[in-house]
Amino acid sequence: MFRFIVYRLVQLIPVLLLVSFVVFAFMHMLPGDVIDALAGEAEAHDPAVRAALTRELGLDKPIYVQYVIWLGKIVLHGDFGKSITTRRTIGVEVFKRLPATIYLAVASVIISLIIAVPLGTLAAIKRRTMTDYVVTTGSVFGLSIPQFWFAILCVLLFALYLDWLPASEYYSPFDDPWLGLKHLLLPASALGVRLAASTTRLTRASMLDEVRRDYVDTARSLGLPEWKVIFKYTLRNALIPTVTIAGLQFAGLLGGTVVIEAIFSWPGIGLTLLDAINSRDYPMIQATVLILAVVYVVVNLLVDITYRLLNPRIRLA
Amino acid sequence: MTTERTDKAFETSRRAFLMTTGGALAGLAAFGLRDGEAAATRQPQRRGTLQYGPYTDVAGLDSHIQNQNQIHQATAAMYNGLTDIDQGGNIVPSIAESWEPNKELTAWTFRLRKGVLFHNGREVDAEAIKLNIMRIKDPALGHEFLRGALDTVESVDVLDKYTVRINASMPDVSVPSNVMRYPTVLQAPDAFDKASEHPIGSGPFKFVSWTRRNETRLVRFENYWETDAEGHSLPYLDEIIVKPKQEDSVRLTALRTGQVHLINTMAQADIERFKETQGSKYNLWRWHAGGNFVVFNFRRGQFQDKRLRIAAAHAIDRQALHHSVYYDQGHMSDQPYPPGNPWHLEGTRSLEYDPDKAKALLKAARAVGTEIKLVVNVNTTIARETAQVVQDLWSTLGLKVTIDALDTVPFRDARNEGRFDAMIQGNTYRYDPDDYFARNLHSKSEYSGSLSGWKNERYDQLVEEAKKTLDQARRRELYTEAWNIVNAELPFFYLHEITQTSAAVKELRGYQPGSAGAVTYQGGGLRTAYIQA
Repeated sequence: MFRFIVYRLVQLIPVLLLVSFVVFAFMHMLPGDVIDALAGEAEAHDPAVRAALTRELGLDKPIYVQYVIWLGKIVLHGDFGKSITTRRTIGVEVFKRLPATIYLAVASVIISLIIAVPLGTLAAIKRRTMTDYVVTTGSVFGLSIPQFWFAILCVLLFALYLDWLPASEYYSPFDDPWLGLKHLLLPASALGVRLAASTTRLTRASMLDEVRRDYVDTARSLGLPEWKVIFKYTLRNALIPTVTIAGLQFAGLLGGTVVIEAIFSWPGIGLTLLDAINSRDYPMIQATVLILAVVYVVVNLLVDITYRLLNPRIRLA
Repeated sequence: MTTERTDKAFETSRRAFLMTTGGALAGLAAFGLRDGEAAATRQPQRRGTLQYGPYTDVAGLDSHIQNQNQIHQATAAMYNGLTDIDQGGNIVPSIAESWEPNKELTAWTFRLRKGVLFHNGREVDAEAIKLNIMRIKDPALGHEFLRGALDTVESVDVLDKYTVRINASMPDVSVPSNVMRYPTVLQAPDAFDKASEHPIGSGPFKFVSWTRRNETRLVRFENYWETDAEGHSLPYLDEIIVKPKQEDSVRLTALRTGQVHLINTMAQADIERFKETQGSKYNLWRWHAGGNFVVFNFRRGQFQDKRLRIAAAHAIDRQALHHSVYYDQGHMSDQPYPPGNPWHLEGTRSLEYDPDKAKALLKAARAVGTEIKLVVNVNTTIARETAQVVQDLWSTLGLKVTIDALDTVPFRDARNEGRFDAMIQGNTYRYDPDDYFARNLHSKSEYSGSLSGWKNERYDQLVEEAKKTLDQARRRELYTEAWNIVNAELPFFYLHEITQTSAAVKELRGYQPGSAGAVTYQGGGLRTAYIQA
């Protein structure tokens, strides 16, 4: 296991180099020039203004030089540079916002699993009964509804009409755990319920595969109680794909919660990235994507380790 | 419910001008402006922490780099300018107690109030004014909106510690409005290098913290120079906590559930229903925010043919826009200043909705089926919806219209490079009409060149003459003639006024948005707001 972890960490290096190169190249291929964005209508045509801005932003150098300088600063000094828009240190800005995103993503996945695992298991056990049909239909419905619509619906129902939860805003759980939790519930549920739809279907399918296996018949024939057959043996194996999907969902949420962040005024990485793309803030985009890539790869590693813990017979390549 | 319209613009008649320059003492008494010597006391009953939910957040803290939009951002209350506006949008003294131009209107001398401090204790003096203006004008740094406002400013001279002279490259009557705190925000020069982290202004509130898209905290500046009519120091509030909420329904819900005391805008579609069902529990104010218009490209494309422009203009049904896009809020308008505004022009002539005439013109021009590219900024909902209605109207006319809904930067590229036949463009309110009529349509304006690219000698002459006179009536005459040329030649076709509605809980007292939605202005807005205990 230790060798596996070290091997995977070493693999990070070429992966991240490739990611850094790709994101750097793609940024400069985006339509729209950051100089136009900064110079404004009056001075956008003025060569002196363009030259001054280009120099200040380091865009006068060849692109490969810009890449090497940028990468060198990160690797040697941990310096991601300054945002073109806010003129603040990118590292500080991104790492200030990353916890909010991780917090939301973790909560969403937990809510998703709390809903999906029992429902998926139940649907598999009660296959082709009304319970199964209700769960399956519910999951299709969950997959079909647009995320932004569902989120706004949650706000109107739970915040406005029932007055159970606040409509928006973020509070760090480290500053005020209760306030943090109250403000987390709605956005995490809006995300988690939707995630649960796909996870439920996967759990159901996976359980259906497992309950047909010989070891399950053997366990039953040995007189083990049904609950033990299901929850101690079958579910554990059936959860492996669920763990995969949960890990991928978590990783995907790290950069993919822009809509929820905008609706709930959640200061996460998604909105940061969106703002940076809209204003062609190259350094911020590059840094954010790179950091997200690191987190994504680490999450994948953790997922693989979890496999092993769930089923020691799985050999990790 | 209180619904008020706050769209009176400023008046700069000669009489008002002389009152400003010669009546500084009268102004001091009227607006309750401290002379810097006697320390004013706080109003004991008027306090509180305001929770404010604007539509958007600042993009950065350095107010010279990132515009602190005074209709959205409470951070605008951290700053003063040489001049200010009152509730009606009139230009009034601020850091400058008085000012006077030379005869040609090419040099403006401002006399500063003594003893005004920045939040870090540095005095606001002439040197600070100069450094601020020069920094804003730096093209590598200053925000384009701020730079554009100071376009004619050529140099700044420090005559003595409290006297500064602004020299313009041409006669410019609009200098006093352009050195108002929006756009010419004054920061402490010794804190320029930290402005992105901890900005220092001289306004009624000072900076505490900012997390983008989450929270901004401002606290009362205890040494602020402005007082109320009773001589108590302003502002009243202890603290402002800004919680931006981009989504309309979430912002409104936050107000209704008590999360915030004040929101600065709500969705057009929600306004009437909110007034009917909830209006008695809240104070509401509607204010003029600007307008939308069609830009026809003179640089290339189909609309270089005047017959097509006229046909397209006749085909636009403003009534349809008024109902479907603006939800009956605001005026259908053929000019940038709405009725009731001092700069509203009487006697203008513009093309009316006449689809039959439009079709006949198009047929005569043999242009039925012409392909038109209509460009719009996808991020502006009203502009996007306006484009959809215009597309439908022009398609009915017989044109084949495709909408290119572009993100902000590609939109600006398409505009600058003229890659459009027509465009839906918006304008925000301008306290001096020169900012609209010259900037958008004068042939020498770079911005005008990136819009229609239209050039008209007579129009230029009229606008240049209007820049040289303080006589408001004369300026209105000149702009009327100029606008009639615009309505005949059609570089622009003005469509509709944009209004916004702010709402606040009844516990918020002493607050009313100013002209064009300003959240802070002399003797009002956030400066006189407090929470009823």
